[in-house]
Amino acid sequence: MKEITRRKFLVASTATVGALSFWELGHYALAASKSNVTDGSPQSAVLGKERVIYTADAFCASECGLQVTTYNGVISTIYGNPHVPYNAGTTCAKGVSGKQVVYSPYRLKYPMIRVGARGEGKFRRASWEEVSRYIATKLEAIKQQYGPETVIMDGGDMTDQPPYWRLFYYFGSPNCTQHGAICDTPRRLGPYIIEGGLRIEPDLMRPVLVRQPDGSLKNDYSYANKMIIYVGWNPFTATRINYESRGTVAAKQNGAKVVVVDPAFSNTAAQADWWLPIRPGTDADLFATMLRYILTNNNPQDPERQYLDPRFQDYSVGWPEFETAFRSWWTKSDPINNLPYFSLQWAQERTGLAAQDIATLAHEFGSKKPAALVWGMNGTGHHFNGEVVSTLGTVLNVITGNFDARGGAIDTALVRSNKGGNGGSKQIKSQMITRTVNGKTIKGLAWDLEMDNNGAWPAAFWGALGAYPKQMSEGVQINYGPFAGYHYPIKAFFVRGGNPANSASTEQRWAEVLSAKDGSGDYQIPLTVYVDNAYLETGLYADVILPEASFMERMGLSDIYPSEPVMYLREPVVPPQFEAKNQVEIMNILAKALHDAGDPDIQGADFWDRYHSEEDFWNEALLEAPGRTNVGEPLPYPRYPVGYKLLGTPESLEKGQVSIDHTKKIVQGVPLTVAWLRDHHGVAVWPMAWERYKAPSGGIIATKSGKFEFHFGFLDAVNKYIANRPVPYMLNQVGWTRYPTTFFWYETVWNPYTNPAYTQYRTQYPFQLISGRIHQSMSATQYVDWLGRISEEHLWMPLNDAKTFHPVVTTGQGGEKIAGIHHLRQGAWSIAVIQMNPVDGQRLGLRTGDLVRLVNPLKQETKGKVFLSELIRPGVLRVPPGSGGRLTPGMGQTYEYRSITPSSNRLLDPNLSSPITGMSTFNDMVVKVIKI
Amino acid sequence: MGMLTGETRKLEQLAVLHRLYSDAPDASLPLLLSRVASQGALWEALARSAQDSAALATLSTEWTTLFEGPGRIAVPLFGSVYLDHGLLMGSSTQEVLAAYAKYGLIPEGKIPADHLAFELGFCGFLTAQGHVDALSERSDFAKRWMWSWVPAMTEALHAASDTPFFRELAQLTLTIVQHLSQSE
Ligand code: SF4
Repeated sequence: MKEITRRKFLVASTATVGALSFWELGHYALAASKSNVTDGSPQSAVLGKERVIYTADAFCASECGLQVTTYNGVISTIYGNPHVPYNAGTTCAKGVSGKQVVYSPYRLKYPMIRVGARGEGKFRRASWEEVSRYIATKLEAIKQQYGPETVIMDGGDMTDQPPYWRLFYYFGSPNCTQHGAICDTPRRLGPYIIEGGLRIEPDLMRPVLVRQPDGSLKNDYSYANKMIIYVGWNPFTATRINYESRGTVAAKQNGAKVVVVDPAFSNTAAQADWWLPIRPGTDADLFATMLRYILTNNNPQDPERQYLDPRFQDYSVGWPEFETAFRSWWTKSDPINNLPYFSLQWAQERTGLAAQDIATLAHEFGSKKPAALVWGMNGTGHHFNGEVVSTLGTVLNVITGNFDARGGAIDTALVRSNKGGNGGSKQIKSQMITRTVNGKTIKGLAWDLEMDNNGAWPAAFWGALGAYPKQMSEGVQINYGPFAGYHYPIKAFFVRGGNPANSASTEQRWAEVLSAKDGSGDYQIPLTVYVDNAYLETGLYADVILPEASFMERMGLSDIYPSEPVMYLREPVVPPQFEAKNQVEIMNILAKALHDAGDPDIQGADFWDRYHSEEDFWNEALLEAPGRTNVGEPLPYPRYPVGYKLLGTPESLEKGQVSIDHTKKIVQGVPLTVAWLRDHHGVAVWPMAWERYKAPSGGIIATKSGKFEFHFGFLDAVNKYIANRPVPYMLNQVGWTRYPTTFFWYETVWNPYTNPAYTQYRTQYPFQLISGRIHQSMSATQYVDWLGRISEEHLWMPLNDAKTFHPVVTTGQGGEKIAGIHHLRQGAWSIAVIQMNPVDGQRLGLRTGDLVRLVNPLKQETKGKVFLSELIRPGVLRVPPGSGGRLTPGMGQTYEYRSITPSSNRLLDPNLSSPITGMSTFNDMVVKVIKI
Repeated sequence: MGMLTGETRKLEQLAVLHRLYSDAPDASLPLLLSRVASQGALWEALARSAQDSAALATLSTEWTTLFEGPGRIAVPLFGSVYLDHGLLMGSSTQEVLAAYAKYGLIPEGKIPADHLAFELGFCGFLTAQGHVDALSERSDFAKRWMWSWVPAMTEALHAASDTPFFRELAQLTLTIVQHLSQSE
């Protein structure tokens, strides 16, 4: 009902009940029920009954399968979906908290437009019509004046962002990104350049569907693992790969040896046979020394020392070059300790581990097969030199024959199901554009203006989100490709389901750039849009807030980390409440508004006429599932030729309901659809196999050569691309003029124990500061109150002060205050703390609960309470990342304690990002501790 | 509140209160309030607080922050937040929905049925029926599904704002809901 009608009515006859009564008007109209009860309305609740719906979580990137029961249209219970092998019926505490999000009174409910200054948090409610017109008008003006490339779309931390990418790629911006670009790119570099994948995990997902000798398919529950080494990886607390926690215990019970290398005695370490408390930032040292030990002591004649599996050479290129380059370092001495690189003694000095332990670890890894060496996200991926770690780690898994071996190490990115290409990248990679560069008209692809790969980060294959504040304030300098010499500013930032202002590099830099003004007092970035169902820090800087349907109210597909192709459905469990909309609806609404504003690149045929519902969109994506080849042992489908690409439902492939294209080498079964998934407990599972890289006709390795590349073809190509052009600034920082194409080494930053440039800080800043991820305390889930109460790993502890408060209120004058109706007693609520070894505490006269300042050499600081704990190495402080010092009232109690909780993201070095992938230096800093 | 002399007046007041909880204050508000200003000291005070057009903009921003967000609003206007452990769509929401359904009514749109504005509207609907059964249903409904949480809401509103307008609104709401929930 139009607002104007109601107002006219009220003004005309406040109390007189006329043709339309006041209860029939406005946002809160009551209507005759017959015409309004539909299955799609939450109001159908009273007419409903019990239903079971299979869907997928979105509280972390695991995206576990869920089985949700609704009663009368309202969510009642949440369990893991037992039919999804990825999590096999299990969930974590977050997974069962979905109701707290969907039914939170604090979720984003309506489109809103900013009325105060950015950062103030003042908005007014608006209609979808108004906000879409507002956004479209601004985007079109920006496109006209500066070009579409000046708009960044950050699709956030869930894998169902393709509708947004599609919109912005068609709009003409090549700058579509996602949270993965800031999460752990150094951790993925090694797999990417050596075998074309991203994430190596132990072969622990069970059950897996395996072809039996009699031709049948059966679930296999057995564990073949002999050794698992987790380095800076804590699946028991940072539960990112759901099956790893239960799988690790099961494999251990089955005789596998589990080793955890971590400065902290994590929950995973507590389950391990052996804990090695390494000094932070020295994982590369450990891996290089293991590699040297293995190469030196390998002896094919000695059954105890057959570390190398020589067959890897049949599937690789460039190994002799790599080995020679690696060995060439053995005779050099390290300026920090005058010891030869990668020797046991050298490693002992740097890692703080005993030389004998390192030798034992290398020996056992080389001899206990199958084994997996796994390195973690924030442990290693968040160090400046995580790129060295992941490269050496991949090498170690490959040369020992553990790669894709049964019970060994699987690169999940190479074997997961495909889910299509309707995110619009084909469009942006084929659209021809012109730009004037140095007075000349240049033609090229819209893709050639992509800000990272043509700008400062030509090898950042997933983009360098951590370096965005720099580009946002300085503009993008295109140095490579046809448009070399072109410079453009960033004029709009559209972020969905992500919170970069809190989690992507130096917090205060994001606040600065998002609220920076130009000479005339206008915002330098004239449009910021925030799409989510929770109000987080980045939302504070938004001009427009769009309420997105929560993960229980929208559709998507999950497939992230399994060891075999699996695809499961995120099915809307309840319809979106309030005015929230799903991604496909938002894409279509904005597309229509852009079209109406005169954008010639946005047409109905690509959006609203093509996708009438979200199901249409995801059905199109499913056409490419599973998209993996028929390879490995045992062969998934012996009835089809080896090496052919498989498409279609597991059922049709099994029954032979296929057509085979021998030219294209495709076996096409009945295409998978949302409806098929719905009819099959929400999940499609295709067979598992191992040794999938060995097929003569081409296996799973996704490098250009189809082989393990120890001569990195990808970086070679990047070098050619940047030849004779300016050297990327971070390469200069590590003393390179081009990207390394074989073994490389550089030191991490802000580490006084390994990098001579920082030894001067050893005395004055005696602590290394690292982060420890606590799964249930991460960003958006902190507003689920019961998760906030759970204590964990001496990092997230009930050190709250007693407090009487009501959720914070921003007053009309821009101030804020707390009104009191909730009482929280002392010690009843867990908050982020600073974990410190008691030896250090004693030396500084500190006790658990003392408030301290952490100050770094860059004069940045943060505050928090100390928690003395034996779980951490002396000389190291550990804090949960992104969990303290929160700035938005959306975070609830976490926000109330913002002045006594630390934020390590305030202490990063904003000028340094890892040289190849552009990752922020989340885990490289030294601090001193000052008692308050 | 002796000035609430007849059901017509009550209906008029419900209409204005419904408006006050439906939308942020805007330019239409002063005229609207001026019509009920004579109905008691609280109405009069409220009308006075909303007179100044400069103040309206500030009131509007504060209204949005208090009731609509974004984020952790100080004063949720949904019954189940108070009656069902802080969440929306609790069993009380279903009961409220069932009460509407008995009269063939259902909320339009996708906002949970126990928002105060819906409940005030429902009371208005029952009042307008003008017969004894409806009025008795009104007091039952108000007692069970409004009086059970509105005092907590108005306390939160009183605590969250020291702006006279909102304090008066809290007081007025409490008085009206209390009155509605008394047996006819
Ligand atoms: S591991 Fe992640 S996806 Fe799985 S239940 Fe927990 S939060 Fe959800």
